[in-house]
Amino acid sequence: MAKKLAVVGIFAYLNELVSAIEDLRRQKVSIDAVYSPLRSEQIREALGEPILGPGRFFTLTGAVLGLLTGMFLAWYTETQWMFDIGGKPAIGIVPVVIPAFEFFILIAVLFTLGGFLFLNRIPSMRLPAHYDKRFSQDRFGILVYCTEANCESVSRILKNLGAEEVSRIEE
Amino acid sequence: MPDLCRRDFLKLFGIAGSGAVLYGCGEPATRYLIPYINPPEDVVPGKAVYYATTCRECPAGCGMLAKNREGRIVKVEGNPSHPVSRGKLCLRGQASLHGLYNPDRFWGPMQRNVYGALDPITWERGEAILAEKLSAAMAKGGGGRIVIVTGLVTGAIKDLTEMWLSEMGQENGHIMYEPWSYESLKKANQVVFGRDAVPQYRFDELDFLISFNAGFLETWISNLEFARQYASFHPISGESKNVFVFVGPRLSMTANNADLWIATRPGTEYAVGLGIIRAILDKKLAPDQPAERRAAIESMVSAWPVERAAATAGCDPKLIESVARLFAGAARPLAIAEGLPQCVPNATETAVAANLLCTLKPASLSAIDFSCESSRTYVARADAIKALADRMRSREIDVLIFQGVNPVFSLPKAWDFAAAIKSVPFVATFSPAIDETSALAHLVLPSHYSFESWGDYSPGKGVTGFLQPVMGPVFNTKHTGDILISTGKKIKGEESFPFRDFYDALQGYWTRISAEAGIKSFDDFWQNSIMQGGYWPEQTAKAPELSLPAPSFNFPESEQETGTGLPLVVYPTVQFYDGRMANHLWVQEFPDPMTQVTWGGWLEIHPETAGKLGLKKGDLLRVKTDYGAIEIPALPIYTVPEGVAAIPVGQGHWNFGRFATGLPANPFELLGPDLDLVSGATLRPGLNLKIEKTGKTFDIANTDGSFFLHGREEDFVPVISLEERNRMAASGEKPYIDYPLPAGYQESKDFYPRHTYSDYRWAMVVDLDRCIGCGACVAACYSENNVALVKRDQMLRGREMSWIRVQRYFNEDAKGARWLVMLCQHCDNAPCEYVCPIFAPHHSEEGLNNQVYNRCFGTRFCSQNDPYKVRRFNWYTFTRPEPLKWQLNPDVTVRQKGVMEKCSFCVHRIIEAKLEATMKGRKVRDGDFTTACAQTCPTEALIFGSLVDPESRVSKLINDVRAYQVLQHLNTKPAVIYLKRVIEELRV
Amino acid sequence: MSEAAGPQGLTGYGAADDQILGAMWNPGRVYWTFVAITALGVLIGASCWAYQIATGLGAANILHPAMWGTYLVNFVFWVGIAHSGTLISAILFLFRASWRTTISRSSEAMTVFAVMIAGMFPLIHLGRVWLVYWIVPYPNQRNLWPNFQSPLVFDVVAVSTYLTVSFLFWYTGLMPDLATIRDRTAGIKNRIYGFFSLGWRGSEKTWKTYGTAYLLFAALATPLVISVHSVVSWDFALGIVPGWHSTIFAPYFVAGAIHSGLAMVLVLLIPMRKIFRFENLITMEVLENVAKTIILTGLIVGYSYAIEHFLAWYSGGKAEEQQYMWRMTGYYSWCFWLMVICNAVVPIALFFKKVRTSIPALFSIGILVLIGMWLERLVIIVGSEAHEFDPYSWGLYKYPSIVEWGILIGSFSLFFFLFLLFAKFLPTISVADVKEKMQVRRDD
Repeated sequence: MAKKLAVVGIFAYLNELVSAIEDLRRQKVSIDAVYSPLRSEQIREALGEPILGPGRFFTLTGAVLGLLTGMFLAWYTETQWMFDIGGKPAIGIVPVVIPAFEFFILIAVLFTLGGFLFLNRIPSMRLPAHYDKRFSQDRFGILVYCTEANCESVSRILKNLGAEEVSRIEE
Repeated sequence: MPDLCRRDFLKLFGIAGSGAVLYGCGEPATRYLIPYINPPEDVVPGKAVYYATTCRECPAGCGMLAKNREGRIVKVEGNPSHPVSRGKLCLRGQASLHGLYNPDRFWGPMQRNVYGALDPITWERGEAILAEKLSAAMAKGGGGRIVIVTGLVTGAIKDLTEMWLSEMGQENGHIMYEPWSYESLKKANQVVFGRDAVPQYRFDELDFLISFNAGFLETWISNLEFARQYASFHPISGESKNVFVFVGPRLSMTANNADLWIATRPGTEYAVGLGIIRAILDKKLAPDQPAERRAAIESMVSAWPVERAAATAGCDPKLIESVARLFAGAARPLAIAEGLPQCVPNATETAVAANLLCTLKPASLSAIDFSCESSRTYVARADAIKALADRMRSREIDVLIFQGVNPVFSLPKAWDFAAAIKSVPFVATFSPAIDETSALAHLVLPSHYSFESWGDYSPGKGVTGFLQPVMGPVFNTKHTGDILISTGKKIKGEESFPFRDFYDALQGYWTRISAEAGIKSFDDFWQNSIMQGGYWPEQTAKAPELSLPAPSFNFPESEQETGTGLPLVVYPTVQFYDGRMANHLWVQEFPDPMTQVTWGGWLEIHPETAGKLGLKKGDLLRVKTDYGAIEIPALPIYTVPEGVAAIPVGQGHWNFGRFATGLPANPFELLGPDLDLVSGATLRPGLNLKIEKTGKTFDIANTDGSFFLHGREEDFVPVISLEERNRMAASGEKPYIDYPLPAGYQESKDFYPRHTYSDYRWAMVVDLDRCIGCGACVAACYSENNVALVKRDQMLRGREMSWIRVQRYFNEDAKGARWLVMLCQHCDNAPCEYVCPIFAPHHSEEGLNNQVYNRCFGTRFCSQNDPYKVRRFNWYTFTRPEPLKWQLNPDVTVRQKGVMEKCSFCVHRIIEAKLEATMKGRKVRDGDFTTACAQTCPTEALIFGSLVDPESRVSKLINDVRAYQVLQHLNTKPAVIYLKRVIEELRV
Repeated sequence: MSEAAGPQGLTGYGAADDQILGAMWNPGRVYWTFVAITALGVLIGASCWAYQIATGLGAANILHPAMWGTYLVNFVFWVGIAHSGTLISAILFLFRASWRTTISRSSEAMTVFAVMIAGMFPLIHLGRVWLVYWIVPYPNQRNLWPNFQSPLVFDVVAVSTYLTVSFLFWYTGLMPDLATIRDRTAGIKNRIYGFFSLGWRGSEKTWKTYGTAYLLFAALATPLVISVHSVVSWDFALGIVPGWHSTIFAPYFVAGAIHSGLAMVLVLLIPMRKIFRFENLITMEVLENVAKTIILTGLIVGYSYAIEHFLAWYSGGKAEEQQYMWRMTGYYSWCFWLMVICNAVVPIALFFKKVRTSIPALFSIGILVLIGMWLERLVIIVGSEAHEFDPYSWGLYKYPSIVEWGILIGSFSLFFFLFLLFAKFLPTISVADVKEKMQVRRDD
C-alpha cells in the first residue's frame, strides 16, 4: 500500500498545546491524535469530546450479567439438594442478596476493563512509528496525517503555533 | 416393657463347650486380615452377637451382655434378665472393656531374673517352677505354708481353690481380700440384729430413707442395684415424692441426690443418729416398742440430747428434730450407714446408731434382708489380713499367690505390707495386669480377664451369674482354675484332680448344685443358665422376721477438737471404686460427678478455708498425718463444709500401668496401723491433716467452666416445687415447650416455615428428677461411638471429646448442686447447621442433626454457633494403643484430625432398627431399640423415641408439666426435652 | 481541598519523572537488610503453618469453646487494613479530594497485599485445609456445592471479589507509569515494563477511555469496599454468640477497618517519604488530612463501643449483659481497655494541629491505632467465645501458641516484604497523576 505521510508536532507546554489544538480546529485541519503524558480536561475540552466514553455500556452489561450470575448460582446450587439447614427455607431470598451483589460488582469491573482494552485496541505489542518516547514523559504531541500537497502547510502551521519541533514521518 | 422388646431382637448365645472359644484375636499386633477358612459358629461378619456374662469389676456382680463383632467384643450392656443389673450397667461396668484391652496387661508368663527384671517364659516352665516351689513348701510340712489371696470369689473357683489347698494339705490358706470389707457394718448388724453379715437392702419399698454417709449410688455394696431401687423410691410418682436425707461430712454424688444434706464433722454422724433416736423417744413417736428394748435404747442415747448431738456434729438441732419427725412419721422408713472403717472415724458407732434407728420402726425391717445376704459377708476382715502379714513377716509362709488383688496399694501404708511380701521366699501372681502387688512377685502366671473366662459368681444368696468366654484370650494367658488344676496334677497326680480343665470342674460343681436343687436335666439347665447369664431361682417372697437381741453398745464421748489441722474424709468414687479401676483409660477420662475433675486426684477443701490457708487451685500440697504423707493438689470447691478436707480413693498408683501411674495421690497412705478391736477393722482415728505448700503446682484437669449458673437457672436447670408441680398438674396446665414438630410452629415468633416429619422424629427426654449424676451414660457413649481419648495434657487445654456430659452446677447458696445431662439437642432450628459453608451439618428427614465427617473441613463455625457447646473438634488424630483399638465399634467412623463431631443419637442403631423393622414388614416401634446412653441409664432418666408416634413414651412425657427446654428463648426448638427436678421444702 | 496539598517544588514534568522513578533504581543497603529480615519472617511463618498442617490444629492454643483464635483475628485485621487503599483511591477520587494524588498508589498496593494476606488466614485456620476447594462452587460429579446461605461463603465471594477488583484498579492506574518507565529504559527492563504497559500510547483516545474506566472503577469499588467489611462483620453478627449477635456490626466494622487502614498508611508512608525524600510530594498537608480522617473514624469506633455496651444492657439478656460486663472486668479486660484507649482516646489528640503536624506523633499514633484495632478483633472474637451462654462451657484462650506467634510474624513480614518489592520495582507515586496536578506553563 502507499506510504502514509504524517506530521507530528511536539509541544512542551500544555497551554501551548491546547491553544494549538484550538487553532488547528479553527483552521479546519483534522487532528488525528493528540499525545500527552497526563490526563487533561483542557485537551478534552479543546477537542470538544464528552466526559464519558462508550466504555460505560460495557460496565452496564457486566453489571446486569453479574447480578443474574450471582442469583442463578445461589439458587441453582440450593435446588440440587434442598437441604434443610437450621430450619431455614431451602431456597433463600435474603441470603442471595450477597452473592448477587458481589458478582454484580465483580463482573461489571471485568467488563469495564475489557471494554477499556477493547476500545484502545490494546494490548498491542508494537507502537506506531510516529510515537515519540517523550510522549509518556514531558512532551505533548499532535499527529496530523497529510498528503504531499498539504504536508508543508500543516507543519508550518504547527511551527507557528509554537511546536518545539515538527517532524515528517512516513508510515 | 422395653426390656422384653429388647430381648426378642437380642440374640443371646451360650457357647456349648469350651472347645468353641472365639476366634479373631490371638496375637495383639496382628496386621493381616485372614478370611475364615471354616467360620466359627455364631460369628457372622457384620452381625453382632450378644453373649451373657457377669461383670467382675466390683463384687456387685451385675449381669452383662457382651456385644461380639467378628470375634472381638466391642461393647457391654446390662443383662435385662439378670436380677442385679436388669439391663443396666454403671460407669465401671461400661468401662470394663478397658480392663480387658488394657495395654499394660501381662503378655504372658514371666519369671523374675537375678537382676530383678521379668523374663518371658513358657507356661510349662512357669507351672513347673510353681509346682516345684509348692512341693518344697509342702515338704516342710505344716498346714499354713501356702496362701492364695484372691478378691471375693464364690462358687466353682472358690470350691476348686479350697480343694486344691486341701490337696496340698493346707488349712484356711485361701484369703478373700477386699479393701471395702464393711467390718463396721457387719459388727453393727451383729450388735443390733444378731447377724454378723452384710444383708440385702430393699429401697423400693420405702417411703423415707436416711443414709449415714453411705454412698449407695456410687460404690456401697451394690450401687447399680440400689440406683435402680432408688429410682422407684425417690423420684416423683403420682402426686408424692419420698424423702431422702443424707448425713455426712461431704456432699458426695449420693448426698447431692438427697432432699436434705446434714453436713457433719467427720466421724460424728453417729451423734446425729443418736440425736434422732433421742428425739423420737422423747417425743414418744415410736410407741410399739417392747419395754425392755426401749429401756436399753434409752440408756444408750440418754447421754445424747438433741442439742449435744447437734453440737457434736456441728449441725443445726432443728434439722435433727425435723428429721426425727419425718422418720417417725413415715410408714416404712429406713436408715443405712456406710460401715467402711477407712473413710471416716466411728464407722461402727454410726452403723449401730443407724441400725438402732431402724429398730424403732419394725415395719420397715423387712427392707433389711439377711436371708439373701451379700457375699461380702465372707470377705476377710482387716484383722485376718493383719494376721496374714504377721505370718508372712515371721516366715511362716513359703508360697504366696495373689490373684486380682492389690493389697500393697489399698492397705494402710503404715502396715508396710510390701515389706511383709518381700519377706516371703516365693511370691507368685495370677493377676492379669501389672499392679503394685504383682510387681513384687517372683513368678507371673497371668490369668484370663473375666471376659475370657468360664466361671460363676454369686453376689448374694440366691443369685448366681455365669461367666463365659465372650472372646478368645487377648494375651497369652490362662484361666486361674486351669493353672491350679495343671499345677495340682503335676504335684498330686492326675487322679487327685479328676477334671480335664476348669470348665470341666465348673460343670461338675454345677451338676452337684443343680442336683441338690432337684433339677432333672443338667444339660438343659446348663445351656439355659449360660444363655440367660446365670441361675436365680424364684425368691421367697418376704424376708423372715429379724429377731432383735437386746442391744448393748457404748458410744464414745464426743472427743474434743484434738489439735489443729483439717479433719480428713476419705471417700470411694463411682469411677475408681477402691482404685482398681485406675488403669482403665476411660475411667481416667471421665469427669468426677461432683468435682468434674479428670486425670489425677485432688484434695477437696472449702473455698473459704482455702482462702484462709492461702491455697489456690492446683497448688501441690504436702499433706501429713501422724502415719504418712502424700503430695496432692488443692481443689477449693463447695463439696465439703468449711474446715474439712476430703480426698478420693483410687489415684496415687506408682506401678499400675501407663494410665494410672504417677497421678496424685493415695489417701490409704495416710491411715494408721492399728486395728479396731471391736470390729476387727483398721482403726480410723480422726486424722487431722497438716498441710504445707510444696511451691510446686499440679494443674487440675477439670472440665467445668464455672461452679455456678450466674443467674441463668431458668435457662438451664430450673427446679419445681412439689406443690407447684401438683398445682399445675391439677389445673391441667401444659408446659411451655417449642415442640420440634409441625405443632411447634408459632406465627408470632417463627421466622421460618414449619417442619414436617413423615415417619419419625427422634427425640430424647431427660428426667432430671431421676438423674443421679452417675455418668454411666457418658461411659456408654464413649464405648459405643469410638469417642477419642485425649489424655491429661489435652484435657488441661479444654479438648475433651465427650459427646454427652453430666454438667454440675452448684446452687447459689453452694449448699448443693444440680446436674444437667447435656448432649446434642438435635434442634429443629439448629444454629450450627446454616453457618457451615459446605453442608457438613444438616437436618435429616427424621429430625436428626446430621454431621457428615467426610464432608467437614473444620471451619469450626458450627461449634462456635452452638449455644449448647456439644460439638467436639478433633484437634489431632487421636489414637489409642494396641490392643485398646480392638474395642472400636465397627459401625461408627473413627474421626480424623480437623473434623467436627458430636452426638448422633446413635444413628447407626436407628438404621439397624429400621432394617430389622423393615424385615418384619413394619415401622420401628417404641422400645424396639434405644441409644447407648439411654440403654444403660440405671434410673431410666433418659428416654429415647420418636415424637411422630403419639403413643411413644417421649410423646407422652413431653407433655408432663415438668417439661422444659434448655435456652428455650433462642427458639432453637431442641428435640432433647428435660423434665424439671422436683424439690421438696422440708419444714425445719 | 486546596491545590496546595498537591506536589510541591517540581520544575517540570521531567523533574517529576526523575524524582519519582529515579527513587526506584538505587535503594541502598538499608533496603536490602529489611528485605532479608522480612524474607526470614515469611519463612518462619511458612514453616509454622507446615508444622500445623502436619500435626493438626492442636498446634494452636485454641480450645473448646474458644474455637477461633488469632487466625481469624488476623483475618479481620488484614481485611481491615485493606480498606483504606480503596477508600483513598476510589472514594476520595469521587470526592475530588486532590490530596489523595500522591498517596493513592501506595495505599492501593497496601490494599492488594493486605487482602492477599487476609485471604490466607481462613485457610490457615481450617482443620483440613487440603479440602478447601470444596468451598468453591465448581461442578463435580457428586454434585456437591457450597452453602450460599453460610456467612463463610459470603466471605469467600466478597473477599475474592475485593482482591480481584482492587488489583485491577491498581493495575489500571499503573499503566501510564509503566509506559513512562518503558520509554525511559532500554534492554530487558524496557521489554518487561513494555509488556506490562500493554502498549500504552497516551493518545487522547486512550486517556479518554482510561478516564471512563477509572471513574467507573471508582464508582463500583466504593460500594464494594463498604460491602466487604460488612460481610466480614456478618461472620459474627449472623452468629448467635453473645457479643457477636449485634446489628451495628456492619458500620462498626467498616469504620474500624478504615481506622486501621489509615493508621497503616501513616505507618508505611512516613518512613517511605523519608527514605525516598518525597517530602515535597507527600506533603505535611496530605498527612494532616489522613490524620483528620482518623479522627472521624476514631470517633465512630468510640461511639460503637459505647453503643454496644448500651445495647447489651438494654437487651436485658443475661448472657448478653454478663458478656459485656465480663469484657470490661474479665480475663481480657486489659485488652479491652487498651483497645479503647488506642482506638478512641488517642486519636482525639489529633484535634490539635501541633500533634497533627508532628511526624513522630503521627507515626506513633498510627502504631497505637494498629495495636488497638488488632486487640479490638481479639476482644470481640475470642472474648465473646470464651464466655457464652452455658457457664459450664466457659473456657479461656489464654495466649497464642508458638505456632500462632510464628504465623502472626509471618503475615506481617510477608506484608512488608511485598511492599518493599513494590517500592523497588514500581513507582510508589502515580507519576501521571502528579503531572496532572502540576502547573507547568510558559507564560508569555
